[in-house]
Amino acid sequence: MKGWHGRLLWVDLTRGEARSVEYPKEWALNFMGGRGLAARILWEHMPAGADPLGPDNLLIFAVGPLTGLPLPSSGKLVVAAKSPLTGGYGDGNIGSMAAVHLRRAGFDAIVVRGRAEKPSMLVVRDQKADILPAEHLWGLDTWAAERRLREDYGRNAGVLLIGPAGERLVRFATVISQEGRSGGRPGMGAVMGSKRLKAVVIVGTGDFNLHDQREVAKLGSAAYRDVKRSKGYSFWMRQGTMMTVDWAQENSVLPAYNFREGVFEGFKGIDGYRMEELKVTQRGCPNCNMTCGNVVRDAEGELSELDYENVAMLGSNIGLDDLAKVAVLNRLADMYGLDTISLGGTLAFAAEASEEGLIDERIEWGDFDRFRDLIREVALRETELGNLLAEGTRRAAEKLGGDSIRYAMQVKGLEVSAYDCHAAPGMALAYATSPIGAHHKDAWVISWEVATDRFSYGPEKARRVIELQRVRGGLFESFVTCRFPWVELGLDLDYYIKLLRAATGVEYTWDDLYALADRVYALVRALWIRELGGWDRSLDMPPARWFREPISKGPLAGSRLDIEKFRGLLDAYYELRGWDERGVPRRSTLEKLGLGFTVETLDRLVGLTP
Amino acid sequence: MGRVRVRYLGYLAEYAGGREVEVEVGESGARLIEVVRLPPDVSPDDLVFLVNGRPAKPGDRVRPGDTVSVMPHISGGAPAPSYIPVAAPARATA
Repeated sequence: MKGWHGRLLWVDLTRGEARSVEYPKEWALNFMGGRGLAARILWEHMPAGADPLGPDNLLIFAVGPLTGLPLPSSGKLVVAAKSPLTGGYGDGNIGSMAAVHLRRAGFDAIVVRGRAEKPSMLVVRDQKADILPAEHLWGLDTWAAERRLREDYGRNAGVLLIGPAGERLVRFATVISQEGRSGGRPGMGAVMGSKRLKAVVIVGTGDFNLHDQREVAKLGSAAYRDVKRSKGYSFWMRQGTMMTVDWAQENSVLPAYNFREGVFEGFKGIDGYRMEELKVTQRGCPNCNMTCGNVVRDAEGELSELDYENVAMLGSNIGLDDLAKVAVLNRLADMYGLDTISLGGTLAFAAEASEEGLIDERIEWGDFDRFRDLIREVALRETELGNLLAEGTRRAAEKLGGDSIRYAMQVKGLEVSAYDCHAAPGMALAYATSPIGAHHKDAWVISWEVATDRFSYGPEKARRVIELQRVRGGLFESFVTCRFPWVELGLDLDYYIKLLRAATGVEYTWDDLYALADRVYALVRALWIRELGGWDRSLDMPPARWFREPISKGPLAGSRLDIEKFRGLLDAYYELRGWDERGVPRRSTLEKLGLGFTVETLDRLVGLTP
Repeated sequence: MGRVRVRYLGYLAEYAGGREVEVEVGESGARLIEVVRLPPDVSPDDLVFLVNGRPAKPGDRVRPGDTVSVMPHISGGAPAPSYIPVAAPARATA
């Protein structure tokens, strides 16, 4: 089989064993890699109902047939597991040399189960894997630990690791690489910490096992050229995703004060032009010629890598209008190994809970010093409040009780990323149906939505969300490469199907790939149902705030979502996906997609609709 | 006579020569597309337009005192990957 290695590195930390195992060819062909492969492995090998922070959970690092190849922005891998934040399927992608090295080492994924007795690290050198002590790294922040590892394993080694937040099982701890790359929003870092796995180091020197290497190189070279020729290229290289601050403000979708508003009076203090004034350099993932990591000098004189999401969530959403200070909060999150989006949502929750008298402590909007301290308290679970917030907003609200769930801006337990949806039903649907909870990566539909009819609840919105989910969440997460060349600079999608054929020799059609994407989505939904032991469509609803409390500022003041119309939109989404009115895939859909192996379990749990 | 303020976001500001310009229009106003300056190879279909912060179309009328915002699509707003319209789950072959 070309294009894949057909092997997993299976690591059991309880037994202290690591071995290479083959996996079925059918999984590669029909689930591809990344998210698809991870979901298939979890279904097959993780015991149903496993404790997300227990030894039975599987932590998976997966690449795909396009990962690491000489084509734009291919240095990505997916990290997946059952999420300790949501209780369902969780994943994220991360740009890292580890992605390229994993392919060169000859594996399509690393699967980690069990729990080490003492802090450990996994070191993979081609086909050789060792589980080594890591007590000397435990407790170090991600930057310090990675620098130590690079001294030992070389400047170009692939390193994935957790910080103190992952060690302390903060439920939105992520996996970090290269001092600013972060992946696995729904607590993948906490899963790694629960296994006492501080770091994974990979050094691979083998080849990619491609069907037609020359054709891949030819296509990749043309694609790089097209990226650079894009009309938006020079501005992208100036601001990257930071241009979105102005864009979101203009369109009244910039979250402010815990998503109470969609505009922020201090937006000029945190926008892309302000970032250009502070910018020191630019970083990117391997194989990227449109590097998006804008590195600025923060208010404490340190370097911090910014993008839109972390700036909006740790800026406008907590009422902070000074980018140099936002950059400090962002840097601390990266060093502790925290997801900046959930962190911003959680800090905003705390500020609002304080304002409403639900917690005793006074936390003012925009209070940089207090938020700075609070990040440490969360990451280290130092104080009662820090420990509460380390559980994420849904659990924190459940513990606080009263009306506090109103202030938990989350879907399925994952905090909403940085687009306010009071006047964007399509984007609200994208959050509601994202396969990991309220994340934007699967269907960033808002740009299309504001350009068409943003107030419509028509079925065209459900169609568009699914189209984007297929390509962004289904395919790019399974290829595995970065979607930015396509979504930001308009690289022709046909490149990817040609590259896939050249890499694998399999004559995939778009029909095949969309089927594959639908298969992955349905399997992920099946995993959710299995792990939660049932399903209810309320799990696919956006936060109540967007329906109940209209925005009060800006040109769209007074806007809010209509709950009955939104339910109709969700119905349309389910129907297009071939899921029933509860949001459960129909038996016929599962069988048509080749997911017959899930039918018995799901039928027993929820009774499948024909 | 009066002025319409035009704001350019993203790379459009590089082309227009500034982030914000003012354009003279008659009392009866003008069509939105007439007051914006776009690169020759950019179709209005590829852009987002607002008038006074509310969604607008290229053919809409703008009047003195209005603010027009014009911006590119970002992050997934590119033309739909419409190789297969979504009508039902795709078939199971690979």
